[in-house]
Amino acid sequence: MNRLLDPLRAIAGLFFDDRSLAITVLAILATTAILLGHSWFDGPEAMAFLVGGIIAALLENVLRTAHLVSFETHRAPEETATARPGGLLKAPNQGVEP
Amino acid sequence: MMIDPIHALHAGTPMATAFFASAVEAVEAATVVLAVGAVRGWRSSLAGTVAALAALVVIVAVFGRAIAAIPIATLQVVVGALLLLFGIRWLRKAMLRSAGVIDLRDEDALYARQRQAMSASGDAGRNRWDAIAALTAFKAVLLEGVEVIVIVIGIGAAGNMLVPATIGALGACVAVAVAAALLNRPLSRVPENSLKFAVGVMVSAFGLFWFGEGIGLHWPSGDAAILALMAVLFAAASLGIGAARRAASA
Repeated sequence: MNRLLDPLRAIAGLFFDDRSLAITVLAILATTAILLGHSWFDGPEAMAFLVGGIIAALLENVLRTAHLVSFETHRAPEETATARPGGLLKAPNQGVEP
Repeated sequence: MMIDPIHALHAGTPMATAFFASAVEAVEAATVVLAVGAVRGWRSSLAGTVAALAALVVIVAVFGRAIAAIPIATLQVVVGALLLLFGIRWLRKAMLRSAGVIDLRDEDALYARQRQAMSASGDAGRNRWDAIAALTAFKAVLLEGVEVIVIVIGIGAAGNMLVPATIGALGACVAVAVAAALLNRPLSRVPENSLKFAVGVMVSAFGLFWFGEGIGLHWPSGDAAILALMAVLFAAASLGIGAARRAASA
């Protein structure tokens, strides 16, 4: 079963690397489409919401990740050792992401 | 013969985006194929590569026909959303790497790790058929190839620019394959993160543009808005790298 699911996971991973960012992006796209479709937005407002929302989501995610790494790096080694298995991130310079 | 500058810009942007994005993917696939070939023999490694390329041709043939039947607005919405997810993912990773939050990708280290993994999984003899080697090369080329297809279809299909996008992608794949064959080692001097950053910006801009078009937005200046979107994304991402660097070192 895993052999069947692995390629699907790999393909899904092309789009959903960070789940929270992917969900936020999809939410912004859906909101823009709905608000424009119901004429609650005109063109320029929708463009500003779409572009601004995506940039804000990206920057928030990158800064949050940087803060998390900084937080994990500055924790005591024993605390980090217990926190890391269930944690979000590895410490910086601990390996190469593909 | 005169080249219309507007037409050149119109075709050049998707071609350049497809070229750079495909170059990144081709370098990643080449690292695995080279490592497998060097350790387990070239016959199985190249057989896996050729099989993956054949599978990719089938995927293109099937999806190419399916895409032609989809209404353009639906295609723009779906492709735009997928391109945006794809591009933002690359941009995020490139920003984190540039800010020093995560390590840069190191083709030499990955090549060494792949060689070690291949050496550890037994020896089939360099001239004999080696299923593990063939499957490893097949999987790497197929997965990276699927990414290239997503990029080419995403950038080309929604704007009727499949030909320039395909030329860009094929050009990159051939260039990387020739360079890898001549050098016979991973292409570690390719500035992978800078390319990924640039491609993340370009692909995200295409994604925003197509999604907007699909839901009925009329971007000012038509296709030229893609360049403006690239500039805005580039500026925001560059500022974000500085902020992330400060946050990581705080």
